[in-house]
Amino acid sequence: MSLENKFHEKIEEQAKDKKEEKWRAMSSNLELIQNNETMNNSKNTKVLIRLPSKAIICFIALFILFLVVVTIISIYLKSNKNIKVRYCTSDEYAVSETDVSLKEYAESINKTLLFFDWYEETILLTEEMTKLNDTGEIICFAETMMDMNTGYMVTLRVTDGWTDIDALESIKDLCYNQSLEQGIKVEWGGGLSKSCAIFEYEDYKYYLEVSRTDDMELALEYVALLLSVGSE
Amino acid sequence: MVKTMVKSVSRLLFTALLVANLSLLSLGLKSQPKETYSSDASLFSYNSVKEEIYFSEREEEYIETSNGVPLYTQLSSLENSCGPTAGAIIIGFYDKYYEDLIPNFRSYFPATGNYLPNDRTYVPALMQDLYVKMKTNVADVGVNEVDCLSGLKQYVNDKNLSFSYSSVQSGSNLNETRYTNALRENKPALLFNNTTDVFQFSTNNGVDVFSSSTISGNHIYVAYGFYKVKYILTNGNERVDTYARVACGLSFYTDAFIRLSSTTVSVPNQWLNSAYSISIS
Repeated sequence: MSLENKFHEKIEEQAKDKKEEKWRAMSSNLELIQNNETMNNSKNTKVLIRLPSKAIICFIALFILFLVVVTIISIYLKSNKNIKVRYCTSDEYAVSETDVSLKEYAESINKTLLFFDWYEETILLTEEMTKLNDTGEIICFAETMMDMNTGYMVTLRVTDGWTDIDALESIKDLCYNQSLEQGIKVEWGGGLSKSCAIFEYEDYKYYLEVSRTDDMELALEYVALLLSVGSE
Repeated sequence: MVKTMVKSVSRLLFTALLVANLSLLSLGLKSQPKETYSSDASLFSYNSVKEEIYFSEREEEYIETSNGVPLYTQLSSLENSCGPTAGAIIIGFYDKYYEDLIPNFRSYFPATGNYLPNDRTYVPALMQDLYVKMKTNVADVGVNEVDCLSGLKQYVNDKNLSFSYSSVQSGSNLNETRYTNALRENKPALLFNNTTDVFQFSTNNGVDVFSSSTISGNHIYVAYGFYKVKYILTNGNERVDTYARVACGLSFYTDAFIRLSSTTVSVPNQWLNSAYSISIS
């Protein structure tokens, strides 16, 4: 063998060792890489599996909640015959006197309204109707009578359950307290020589005022009287 | 000479013109006051605002005319009739002391002394009479202050009684001393107001609730009470408010309070044009 060939064989042997060494290093690196990829894939696989179930659960929960809310609202709406509340301001209505009593008014509209049946005894009785300017519809009926047992002047105003009148907002502010009277929620309050109360009964709102009294709870007594007559 | 004559004539003419202008000016100054009072319920804005005052202590002082005043309300058949309504309240008040002021009518309930509200006959007739005497809706919409007072005077004089009035005003507010003195003498007052915030309130455990509304436009009230309340607030501060109690003459607002002063909140000071305590004897 020529010297050249011997050197070539030597180099090849060394190179071969180094090659093998390099192959071993490369193959171990490859293994590492492959292991990492496998781990990542498994992690990715785990994440992919978690996210959809969470999202689905959340979605289902929200949907159920939505159904519950819609159901509650539907039941509430069905239990209220008319949920539209109208707010009437002073430029939309006018007040005028009338000879019709609250009792007669109730009969004329075929409704069961509460009233004080003192017509035979009282010495003073006045009525007023509040009517919308454009339609003439009666939105509030007011009756003022003297309670001959006490001498107090009692004013009772009645509106339907879906009508609010700006002039009656202040009495709502003043009726700061709440109590139950024969199962009916009554809001009441009183100031200097005045006692007032508000309640709803069979789709009608009642606003009661007693003047020239320092007994803040006096209006409650009159409400109790009204409700006891109504329940007969 | 001609020049002198021309100068003299010119001076005479100038003087005559000056005098004529001054006369016209003075006539204008003496003419009827321009403010008229005509607020009907339809012009009011009940934009109620709620205020709660929390307190640990509370003291109040209240004086009013004897049994207040009758809380008459405007008739729908009489337009712009706040003047006649306020006048009727004054007449109804004094009818208790001079029975023939409203003939064949008793304005109060004898058992309690409290005034009665509108009846269906006599109070409407009284308002109608005052409506004419006050020249309501004649020269202008509603009444002015001069016609309101003179119409009242005429009604009272026709009943052989005397009528007088005295200012209880300081600037654009009530003079509290003169006003309270009038109340102690059992004299209500006529208030000629422009746009006014009126209050109603309720007293509860530890909190007073005030509800205010703005009655827009010129309106005449009858003042019959003075209310002073002092709070020690829950934060330890002191607050003192004073109010005039007034009959408003409105169906939904028969009576209310006008805040005169407050140590804590700002109070409008342009609501009052004139205020007079009224005396009939």
